[in-house]
Amino acid sequence: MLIKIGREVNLLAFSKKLEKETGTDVRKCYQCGKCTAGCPMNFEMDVSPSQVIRFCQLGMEEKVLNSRTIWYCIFCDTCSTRCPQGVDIKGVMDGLRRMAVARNIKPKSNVRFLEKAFQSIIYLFGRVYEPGMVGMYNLRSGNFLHDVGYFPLMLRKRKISLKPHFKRTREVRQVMKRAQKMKLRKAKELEEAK
Amino acid sequence: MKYGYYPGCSAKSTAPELDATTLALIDFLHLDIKELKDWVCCGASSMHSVDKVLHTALSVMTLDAANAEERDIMVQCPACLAHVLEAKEVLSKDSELKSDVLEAVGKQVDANMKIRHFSSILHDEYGLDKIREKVTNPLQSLSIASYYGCLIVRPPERMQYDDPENPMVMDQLMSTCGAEIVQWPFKTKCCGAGTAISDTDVSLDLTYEILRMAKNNGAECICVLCPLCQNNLDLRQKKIEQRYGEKLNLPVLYYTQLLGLAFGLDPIMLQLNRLFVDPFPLLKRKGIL
Repeated sequence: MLIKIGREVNLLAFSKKLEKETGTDVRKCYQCGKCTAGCPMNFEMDVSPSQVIRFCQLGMEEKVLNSRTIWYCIFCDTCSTRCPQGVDIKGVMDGLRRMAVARNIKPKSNVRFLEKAFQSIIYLFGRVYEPGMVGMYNLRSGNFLHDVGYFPLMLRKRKISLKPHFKRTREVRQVMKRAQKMKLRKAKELEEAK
Repeated sequence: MKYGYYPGCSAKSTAPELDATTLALIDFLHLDIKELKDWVCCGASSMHSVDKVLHTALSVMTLDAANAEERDIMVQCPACLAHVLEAKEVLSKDSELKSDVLEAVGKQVDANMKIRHFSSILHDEYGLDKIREKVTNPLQSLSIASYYGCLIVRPPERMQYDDPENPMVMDQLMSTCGAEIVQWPFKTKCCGAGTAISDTDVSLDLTYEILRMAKNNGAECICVLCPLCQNNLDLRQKKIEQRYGEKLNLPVLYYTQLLGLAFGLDPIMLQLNRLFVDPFPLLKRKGIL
């Protein structure tokens, strides 16, 4: 017997899409809530991790991609390690974040600015250069004086240097360009397939 | 035992004392470990949310550097360790991701090398017995809470480090050096370093809980292995004290510094003066310095 609840939703489509992106099957989750209980960031989230997984099972793509939660996961992996069903919750959060970025959904946290700053720094130097990264983050996020107070202290302890390290920058840039091209090519292929 | 040392970006910038003490220990214990020439950034905590292929490709470049020198990889930073292990995993079986990554890197890379954290090498390969023989300045009556952070133990099947809820590697190293071990529940609780720049208040909350728990369980100092945890617990401790109106005064030392102290290495070489919470009064009171 087929029971219809409300509008017709293709429950499987989103789970399948997620499985392709992250390699984990969210349908295995039986909602024990262990991930939510152990999550160190749960007090910052609007939808708890176990709810995110439930919404994914129900194919509620818009709800999860627009949640605060995916931007406040810090990938500590406590959830995935403790999950009795072997669902990689952290991996799902990461995948959802990449999906949200691909669809240009506005991030709910400044962490996206940091990611961008980080990417530019790696492109420029091949290794992290903290003063440049924080500087770039501050410019992007608009908190111009963020953490600037630590600068003299860290300089005195010689924990940051004014000079960046350059390492294999040409190779790193080539790899980054190739990865970027590949990403665009795949997005185009996906578009055409539709 | 022939390892190439992959220090990671932090050890070369915000955690110079970790790099210096690692090299000092390698020298003191006569280990065949030397720094890889051509390592690059592993992509750290943010690249995987940007581009999975690029994230893996960066670590593959470091694997390639180790292949060129025909060495296994010894890692100090848990994030780097997690990412090179992940890259090795990707290269070990055929998948779409693997072919994409190799296309981005632009060459074939094999991943047959062993990849281990320095503390595991000391603990399992060098061995606690040999370490005990080297201890000349025991860390007697110093109560140490070992704090591992999240990345070194999780996911356990990839990291193969120790129990993900109650790891003991550092605790055993410290008790071998004669220290008192604090049993406490937050060994692998996340310190929130990933949000330290973008949401400072959140990370202060998490860090405060960890410091307070260590203090309440009788710790006099904290022993860490992750450069991001160290920075978060040490550099921001003053701000935490102001924010919560509580005096914590818990020095946060790297396990390499504490091992160095127990081996009787020169405190100047161990760069204890680079820590923000001054460890000297405590170490002097205990008769260690």
